[in-house]
Amino acid sequence: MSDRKDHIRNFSIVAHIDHGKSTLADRILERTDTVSAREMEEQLLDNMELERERGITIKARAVRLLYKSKSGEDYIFNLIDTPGHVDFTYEVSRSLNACDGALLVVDATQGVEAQTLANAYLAIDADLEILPVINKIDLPSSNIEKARNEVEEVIGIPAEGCPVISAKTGENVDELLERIITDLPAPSGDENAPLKCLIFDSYYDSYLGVVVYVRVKDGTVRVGDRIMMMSTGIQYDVVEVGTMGAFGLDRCPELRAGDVGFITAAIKTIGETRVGDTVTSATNPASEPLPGFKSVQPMVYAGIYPADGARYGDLRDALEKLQLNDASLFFEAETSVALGFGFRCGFLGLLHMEIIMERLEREFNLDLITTAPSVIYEIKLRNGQVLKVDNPTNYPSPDEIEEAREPVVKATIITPTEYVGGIMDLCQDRRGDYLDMKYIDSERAELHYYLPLNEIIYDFFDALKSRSRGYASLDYELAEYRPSKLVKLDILLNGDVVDALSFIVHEEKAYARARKIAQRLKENIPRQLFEIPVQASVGSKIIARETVKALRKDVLAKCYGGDITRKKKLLEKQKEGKKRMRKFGSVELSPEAFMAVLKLDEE
Amino acid sequence: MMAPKDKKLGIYVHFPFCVRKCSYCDFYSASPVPGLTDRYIEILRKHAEMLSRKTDGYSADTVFFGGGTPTLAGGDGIKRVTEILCSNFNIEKGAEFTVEANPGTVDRNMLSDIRSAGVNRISFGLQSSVESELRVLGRIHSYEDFLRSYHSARDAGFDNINVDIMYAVPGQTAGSFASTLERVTRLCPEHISCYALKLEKGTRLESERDRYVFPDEDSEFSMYLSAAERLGSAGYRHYEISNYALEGKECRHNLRYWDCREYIGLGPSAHSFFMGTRYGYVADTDQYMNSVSAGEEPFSEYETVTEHGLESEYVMLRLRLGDGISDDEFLGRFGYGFGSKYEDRIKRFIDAGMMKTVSGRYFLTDEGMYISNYIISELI
Repeated sequence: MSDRKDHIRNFSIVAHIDHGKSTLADRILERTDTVSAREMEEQLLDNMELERERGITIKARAVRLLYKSKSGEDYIFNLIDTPGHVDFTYEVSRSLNACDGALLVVDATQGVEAQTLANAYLAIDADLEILPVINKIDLPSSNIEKARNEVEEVIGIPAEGCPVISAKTGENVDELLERIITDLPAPSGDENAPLKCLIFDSYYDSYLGVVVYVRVKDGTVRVGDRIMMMSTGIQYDVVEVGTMGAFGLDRCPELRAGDVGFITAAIKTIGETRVGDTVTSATNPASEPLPGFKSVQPMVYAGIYPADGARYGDLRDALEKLQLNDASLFFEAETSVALGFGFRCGFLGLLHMEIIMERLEREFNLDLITTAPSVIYEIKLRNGQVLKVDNPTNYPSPDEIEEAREPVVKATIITPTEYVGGIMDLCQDRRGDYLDMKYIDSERAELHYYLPLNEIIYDFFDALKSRSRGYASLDYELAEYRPSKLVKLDILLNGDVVDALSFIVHEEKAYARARKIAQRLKENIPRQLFEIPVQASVGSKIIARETVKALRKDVLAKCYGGDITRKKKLLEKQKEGKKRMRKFGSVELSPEAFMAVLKLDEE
Repeated sequence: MMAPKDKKLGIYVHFPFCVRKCSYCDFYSASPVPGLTDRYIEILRKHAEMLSRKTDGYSADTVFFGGGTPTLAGGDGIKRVTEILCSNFNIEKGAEFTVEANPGTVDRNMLSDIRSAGVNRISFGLQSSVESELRVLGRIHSYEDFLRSYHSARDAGFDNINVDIMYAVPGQTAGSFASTLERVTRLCPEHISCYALKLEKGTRLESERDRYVFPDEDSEFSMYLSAAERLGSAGYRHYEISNYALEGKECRHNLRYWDCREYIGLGPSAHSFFMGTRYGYVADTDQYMNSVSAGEEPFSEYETVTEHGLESEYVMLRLRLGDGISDDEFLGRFGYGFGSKYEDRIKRFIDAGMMKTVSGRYFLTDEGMYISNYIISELI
């Protein structure tokens, strides 16, 4: 019955960070009477504390809304939220594939930015109908005409007559809801064809098992059906299906082509339900899966250790809990001579890593030490073997290496033109390979560079922001592996290599990096009983050296009748502080000092 | 196990008035108001009477009258305090009785008066023989004033005198410190206290720190070592981190602190260690006086020392001393030897030359004393 599908709209809101995506989602929830303003916690879709604080969406969520149009007809809107950061490009693309249309929100005070562009392209790739929406028209500095022109010229989609709104005040949001019906297409698909459901998200629930969010592309799925994941061939019996209400899951007997909903099937781990995979019927399987499935691979690795070695078990439990709802988080046990027992963790990118670190510290109350983040290098050995190295400790010795290759990304940077020079210098300094530059208008330019990923994972984003007073925006995607002159830089304290401080760096960068780390160590290592030489070496060659002088003074000159209790407490505190110290050979370093050394910001 | 019940006490009396607060001083003191000294001494009498019952069965072998500036009480005042103590406590014959003296506040008559009242040890706060350094420290006296006071004390019959000096003073050099050391040793006082200036919160010097250049850690350390060397060669034994004395002239009152033995204090901000408890009084003269006149002890802190706490204190305090810790005494107090319990932890300090062990004694070397916080915090 095509009438049913005609009254469904499946869409996403895509935008650059801070352009008002979440606020608009809230407003739509309110205006469709799905959630009353009173009931609504601000930005309901972002339901993790951290997300709300950072104002970003980490994981996709979806919600089903009921809308009565001005002509009096009832519509179902499935609003599918997408993660808003470059680390989650693949997940964004899968969420978009679950939609038929997208609202492209552009901040009228900022215009098109790097992620506007990147997300728009993802939406175009997913064959979505795009409705541009100019937001923040309530702000005095808004320039609707300029934003509209940029959408047309830079992205190349018509924006004449597109909705201009203020998600904050609600201005013109009612009109936008009508435009969703008229401008975005209804879903297509055959309810009687073999089942094809696209998985676009999932989460673990301790009662239900994994709750799989799907868009039914073809066919019908019912409670009790035998289903199969097409990438693995594993089969399950459907326990429940239903839709995503604003306040929880609403069970129903079946989902049909065009619907967005959930499936539970007593699935034990989230790893079995990969985003982008196709769910089909085990008894009447589809001949081929939906296109675009990829197994997501971590791009950035780091060692994570508890600052207090006794909390290793707690850290493992915490990582396991996070992994329940984040299949892209990878970890395995590793041991460092310097840091003891910990985990090698893989992340989609730096933001993903930061989010995980913050959640571990905040939600699980852990004090952590992390090693310098590393990308995955491909090392071709003289014996023909190819190694993938994500931990500098495992880097082979130079005489075994035939060729070393590193990952290179294609980066898009959008910046006001006055900062182009500084940003080009930065990219040059980070071994960037200039591709091209386009002027978006007289004020802004779009630059493309190939950049080694290992240059981006050290503070590139911060440097970009500082050189553009915060205006430049960045997006990147993995392009290829390229041969590169890489060396392993070791740090020696008192003559002993500290494995946790080793990293892989381009030959040309080795000296500068070595000097900086040696300097940082000198500043951060507390004076100890002996003078401590701090050295940086490549192979057996020392390329930087500093000395931490021996401790001379740590004394309370006066200790008489009234000083004893206070003094005892002071020394007990000092003792507690020392318990947190990590021994690196014969040298002691606090977790804070260790982390300070790895913070390699500019100057 | 509690402190040994030798039934002996030290008595500390705080005199909380100063003519002017020194720029580095964070001890409790206030400006003297006419008539206040008399009232204060009467409160001390009342307090001594209260404590007299508590200390029944104890005898005092040391008395220390510190401040503030006790000599502001005048010869009469000090005499009255002496009488108060003698009539309320069992002060031993031959007890050490020290009065701290500010060189600008004493003369020959007064010194004779207090000598005849039973005071037998004077502690002069000189700090420096260099006028510019005295000014930075906010001292009210000159080096000349000190010399006059010092000789007057000798003339009055004092044969046990301490002189306080300081290093790490802003503007001080190795040379200027050496000249102070030289001048003081030539006077042959029985005891020299040699302190590193420490910037305490809330002091004038601390709030004005940006105006001065302070010697760095390494030059401070070499001043410390130069004092140990110079005073050592002049016959003074480095018997505590900041204290040097001719043989037998160590300050017996202060040794009570470092040996975890009992003492009681009178006056605002005074502390006591008595019957296994460490406690202190409020650092406010009015509050102190009001409480005492109402028959109450104005506690501001109170801590019963646990067995483990006492051992920590003992290690912390005894390692300040040149004699360090005797294995036998430790065994007697705690039931096990120091060496056997701490062997693993002290080895690296012995290897580094920071600690030594000689015939059953464990002590810090001059270098070790100067990083004693670092060492002790690994032992307690």
